[in-house]
Amino acid sequence: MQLRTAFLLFALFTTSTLIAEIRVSARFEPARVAVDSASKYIVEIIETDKQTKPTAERITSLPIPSDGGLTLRNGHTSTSQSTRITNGVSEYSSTQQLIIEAVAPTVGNFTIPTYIFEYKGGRLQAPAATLTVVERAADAAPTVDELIFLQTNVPEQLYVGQTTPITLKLYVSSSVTLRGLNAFERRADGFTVSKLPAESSESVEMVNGSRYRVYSWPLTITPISAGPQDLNFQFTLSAQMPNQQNKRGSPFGGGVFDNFFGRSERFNIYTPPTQIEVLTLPAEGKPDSYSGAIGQFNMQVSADSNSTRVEEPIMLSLKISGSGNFDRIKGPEMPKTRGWRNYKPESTFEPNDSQPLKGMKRFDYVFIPETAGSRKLPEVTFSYFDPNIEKYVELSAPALTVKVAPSDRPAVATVAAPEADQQGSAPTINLTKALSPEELLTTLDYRPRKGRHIEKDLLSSPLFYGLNGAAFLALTTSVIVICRRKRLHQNADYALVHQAKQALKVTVKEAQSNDAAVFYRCAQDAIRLAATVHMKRSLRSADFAELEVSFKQCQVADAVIEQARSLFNEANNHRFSGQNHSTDLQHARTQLNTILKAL
Amino acid sequence: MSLFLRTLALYSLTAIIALAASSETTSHFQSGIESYQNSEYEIAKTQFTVALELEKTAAAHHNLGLVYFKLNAPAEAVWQLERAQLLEPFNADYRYKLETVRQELGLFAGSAKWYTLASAALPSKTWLILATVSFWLLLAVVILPRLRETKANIGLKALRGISITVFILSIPSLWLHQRLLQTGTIISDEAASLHAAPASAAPSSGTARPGERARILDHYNHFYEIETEGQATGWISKDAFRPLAD
Repeated sequence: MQLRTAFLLFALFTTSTLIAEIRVSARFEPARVAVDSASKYIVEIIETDKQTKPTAERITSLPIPSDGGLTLRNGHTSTSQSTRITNGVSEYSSTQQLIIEAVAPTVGNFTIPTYIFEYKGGRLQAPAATLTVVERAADAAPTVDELIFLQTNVPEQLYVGQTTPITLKLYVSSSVTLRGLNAFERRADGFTVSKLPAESSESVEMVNGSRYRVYSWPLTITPISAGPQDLNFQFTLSAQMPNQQNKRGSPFGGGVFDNFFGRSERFNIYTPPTQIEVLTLPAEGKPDSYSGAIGQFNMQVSADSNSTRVEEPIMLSLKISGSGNFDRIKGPEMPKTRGWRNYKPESTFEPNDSQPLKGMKRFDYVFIPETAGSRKLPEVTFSYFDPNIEKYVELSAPALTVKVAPSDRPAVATVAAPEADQQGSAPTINLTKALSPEELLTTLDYRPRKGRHIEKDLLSSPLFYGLNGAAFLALTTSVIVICRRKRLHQNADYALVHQAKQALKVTVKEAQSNDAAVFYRCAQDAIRLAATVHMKRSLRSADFAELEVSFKQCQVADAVIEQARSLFNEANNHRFSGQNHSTDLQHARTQLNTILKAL
Repeated sequence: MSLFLRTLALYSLTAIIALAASSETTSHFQSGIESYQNSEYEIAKTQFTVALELEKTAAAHHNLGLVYFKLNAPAEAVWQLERAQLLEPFNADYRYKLETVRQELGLFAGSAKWYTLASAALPSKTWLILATVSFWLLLAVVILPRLRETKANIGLKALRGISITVFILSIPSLWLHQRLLQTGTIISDEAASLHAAPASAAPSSGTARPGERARILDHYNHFYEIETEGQATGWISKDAFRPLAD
């Protein structure tokens, strides 16, 4: 029995050390405030564990029961972790604080009763907490909310998509030294809000007899959801309060030194809770041309020329000026018109520097005529919703007429209308327009031109080989020709042989004649020239005796010498006989060929 | 006569085929423009791609680049714009867009150096012809007067000077052209790893950013060895890198 009791006690002790302990506390800080002053309602969840570091589960909402008129706002959480080691035993703890600002409307005690909330799958109980609100003393110092506050001028009602300018004003009492703005937050889920300008305008205003420096930022808001929508702004700022300056008790009397060395505090300053009723645009009376414009607008339509040629573009410009949500205005869709081809417009917006919602938006439509004649551009219709009169307004411009002359491009065949024939030449259309960087980036190239041909490997191209081969041949030929000419000039023997060769060619050709006289004369000359080439000395006027000596020196065959002798004799007989009879030259020709080959 | 008629028929047929091909290219190009204007970027991509398959024009490359930019594929856009710039090196519009898209990717604008622009003044084929002609002309002007043992007159001296100048200009220009064709672009959507060897399992030797230019040093199987603008060197898969001359 004793053993069982001891075991149970041991088990209980072990379990208590293993399971993490969770404690919940709730309090107001400060628990006693003057009326109209804010206190903080803090719910603290502390987890401790001796084995592992506990991880806090983030709490986003608490089921706080009715609080008797307390205004609870701007809740946020804060977590921290710590480790404590005592006699070698570690204890880990995690603390999560839920901090909610509480403002009481009147004097009295305000109690938030006990309530249960879920945490990590279990149920925890938050204890009751009481805030005591007392009358403010007549000589009490002003509260932080009185010294620094934030205000906006928002309308009570807006339409979805209606862009409205608002001004965010930060009031700082002249007794407070503003050290700096640390952060800006907005809670506007149902709106798109413009970016907070980096610079604010500064002015001075009197509020309830006190002097305030006012920092103003212009913003624009656009509702995106219908219904009541919250719109709150928050600044986190550092400032030095007047009571801190007084606390220093500087021997130099404060003032300048306080400003330099005073301790700054961080404050979260909120706009009063604001709700805007956002309405949907009425479906009744909504024109087909409506594309989301809300405001007050005027429209102006113009074309850059009243005449052009087929396939030469013309620009139709639509200028919408006025006040409203220009960023949501789209260029009206142009209907497909017979005889025209058009593209989506390019838009530019010129805002009014002082009033961001005012300005002029321009849409440029490019129209390209496809046929000649007098052609009408489509009628332009633009509609918007005017929130002042709560009605849709439709603006329209009549169709512009453009005279289209036939194209002057030979490739394009067009059928010209009779009136188009009257046109001489269309004026040059200047379509240049300054584009924004984004438009410049996304503008297509409409003219497909043949660019350069990209040769991957030029050195293996036929062009490279062909060009170099041709150049090499030309240079080599030039070198050969020059060398040959040079040798002819410098070497007499070479020149003699060269001339003899040239003459031999001519003579052999003449020897083909059937006239015996011509043949024999040419045959004798040919043998002399061949001997000249062979002996490399002039034998052009030598008789056969001289030739025979030369042949023998060159060891020409006796049979050849005999044939030459026979041919020379025959030639002499023929020449000196005085008869001009025809003979059979076939044998003589054979002899001549044999001799020339031998030489 | 029959030969004449056959030749005429052949010429006509060739002209008709060429005209049809040209017409088809223009049709796809125009369809691409219309799809782009209607914000149908996928269709525009297909149309411009087909137009490029039929005929490689700088405008089609440029427009396809803008489509890729709209489709949130800026690295592909850079490659297409680089290619358009290669085909039309002095198109300031293309250069502006290429620099802007590169800046969007966090890369330096990468303006072309003066010597690169100078080398792009003429097509590579023209530089090749000039280099070859000036080389052989220089040889002829130097050799032939010596062979003839004549003194070079003022005309020959001028020709020699011109040949030397043209040859000196054309050789670096050709080299720059060829070097440009050995570059490419990282076309992956995210930073790509460079490897120490041509294998995916090889250790990393650096990273290459999307749209970054790189020079091809070598290639092996499915990998290129590259040196990026950021001086990182390593092997990259051919899927993540596309040469400019592709």
